[in-house]
Amino acid sequence: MREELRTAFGTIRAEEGLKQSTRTFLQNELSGAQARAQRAKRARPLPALAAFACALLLFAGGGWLYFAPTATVSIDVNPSIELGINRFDRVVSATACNQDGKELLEGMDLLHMECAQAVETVLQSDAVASLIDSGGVAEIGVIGPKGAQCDRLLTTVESCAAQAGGAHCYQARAEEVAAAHELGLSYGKYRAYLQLAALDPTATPEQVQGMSMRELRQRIAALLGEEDGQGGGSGQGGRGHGSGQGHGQGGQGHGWGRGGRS
Amino acid sequence: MRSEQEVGLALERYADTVRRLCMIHLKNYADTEDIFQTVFLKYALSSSDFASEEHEKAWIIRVTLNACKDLLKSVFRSRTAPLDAMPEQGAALPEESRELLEAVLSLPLKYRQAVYLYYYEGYAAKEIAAMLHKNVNTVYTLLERAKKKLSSALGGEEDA
Repeated sequence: MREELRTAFGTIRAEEGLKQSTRTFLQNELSGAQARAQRAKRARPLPALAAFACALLLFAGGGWLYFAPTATVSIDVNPSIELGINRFDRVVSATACNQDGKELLEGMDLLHMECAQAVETVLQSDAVASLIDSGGVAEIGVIGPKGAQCDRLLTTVESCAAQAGGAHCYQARAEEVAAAHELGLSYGKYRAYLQLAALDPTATPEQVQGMSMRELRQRIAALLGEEDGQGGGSGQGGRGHGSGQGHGQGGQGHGWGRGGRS
Repeated sequence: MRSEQEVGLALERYADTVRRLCMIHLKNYADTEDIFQTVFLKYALSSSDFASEEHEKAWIIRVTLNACKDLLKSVFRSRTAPLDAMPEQGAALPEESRELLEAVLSLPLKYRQAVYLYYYEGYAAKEIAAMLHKNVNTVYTLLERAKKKLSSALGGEEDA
């Protein structure tokens, strides 16, 4: 039976038509597969481009997160400068609001410093420290939306002011600062300007821009009829700075406020 | 992917083997065409390296068996035809071979597979067991029973 089976099975052959149709099918399929492979090769730049675009977006997004200022620290002595602070409490921009400010910033690189370090650097710089030592007044404002970051920054700048002496810290909303910028003033000077303008309508923002905070405060005090007290006022300032009591929260703020009211 | 020439050579070399396996499983020309296309396309796209021609042939047989099994399982398969519908060559077979093949093809599939692989392709029971995913002893049993059935169908000849 073995041989018979071999013979019988051996008679079965693939028909020529079957082989030919298979050949035709394979030719079509294989040329199609090659074309698909070529298309896939050609299409490969697309994923690479997509990956590049994602990386770019990620980079741009990261850059935006880092470089977008979320708060501003305004420092007014006479040099008036504004530091843009990002969400990580680092300085991402430093802008001068007057000529003294420009000169001050030319001598230091505050970018990417932590806010506390940058404020300390400014307050301890020769130009600012000498002004404060000679009775000058520094106003440091934290400007931004009400929230945890501004509260944190205010605590930070208060701590810096306490170390430097002769500085008054305040917090303001960004909307309020826009009006100051329209007049070309930093917010600290703008506040003083408003106070001065209420007492002396002839006062102009240009005049205020060139005055130091100390001069402004003296002028306001004078207009309030406290010439006698002004000596005391400056003396008060001197006390404030000298004794250091004034850093206290409000040592200086309290001083101004009181002066203003009386 | 293999070259067109390589695939053409394989088609020439193994077409008869695939055709016989199709006959055992399908008895249907249209399904046979499908199996041919499936098997040789798989061969063309395969990157397997074959150590020898025997190895390559065993690969073709295994792929054909699996393709046939898949086709038989397919719920869409409705094209079945009786044995005598075997195309062209059916009529050209010698009477003796035709009778014997009809007897083989009347056996259940599991016997047909074992008989073809053992008697025609010459594989040992162990190799057939591996190809069909069966126990060696099961293959022996299948061969024994197939032989008895064939003998009985062919009028009592039994010499294999």
